Amino acid sequence: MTADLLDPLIHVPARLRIVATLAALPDGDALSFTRLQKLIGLTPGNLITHLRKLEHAGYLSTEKNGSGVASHTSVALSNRGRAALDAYTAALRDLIAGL
Amino acid sequence: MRGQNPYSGPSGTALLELYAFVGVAAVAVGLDGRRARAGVSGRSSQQGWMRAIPFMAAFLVVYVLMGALRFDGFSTAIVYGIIPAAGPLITVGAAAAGYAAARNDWQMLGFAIAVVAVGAGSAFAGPSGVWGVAGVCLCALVVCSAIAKVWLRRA
Repeated sequence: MTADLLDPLIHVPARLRIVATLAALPDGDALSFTRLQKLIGLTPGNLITHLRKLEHAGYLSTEKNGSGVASHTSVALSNRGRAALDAYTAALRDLIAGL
Repeated sequence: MRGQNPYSGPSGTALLELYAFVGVAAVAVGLDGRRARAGVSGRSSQQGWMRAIPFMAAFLVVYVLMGALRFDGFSTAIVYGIIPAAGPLITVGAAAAGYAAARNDWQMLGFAIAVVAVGAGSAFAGPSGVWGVAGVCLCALVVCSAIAKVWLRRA
């Protein structure tokens, strides 16, 4: 069944938006946490929870630069995350094609 | 310009208006790009300025060429009439075509080649007609490109 191929980690709307947003960046680029939050429209706590889940799966990497008030975190999609999104969209296309 | 005999190029006011318009457009594009790239770090943001260098060089080289042609004794009709109207379209269009080809961006490549063709073709209109022909053709090209983009997105 094609639906089984839909990665449950990406299938959650908020995480799908995160992964799709990061996938729009060229390979090797990262997005700041604050800009990502502004684009996605999630609360910081909610966004951190979703980012942690994706990071644990190896779909993205986070990097913290600086310290204290001046610190900022940037988030980038990993090759594994990009491949997972490609597989997810392919599975979704197959599913829709059968309608 | 009307009433000029012999032709000595567009009036200072017309050139000022044109370059003011180009300046405003460049600032608007710059601000829009800056807003779009806010929060983005990494390889492509470091390459941003490097990407702009060939375009700036392609634009500025036209004015160096104009100086050289004037120095060599070419008529004002060619130096101030044809070259500043057709030259930037040819050089910047060629730079954009190379950039688009390197990125496999076929839409941009087609547009850039069309800009080069407009620049080269408009020179046939002569010193007094080249500005008008280039302007009208470029406007038509931008409109056609926008329509094609919308049509391709819907297809």
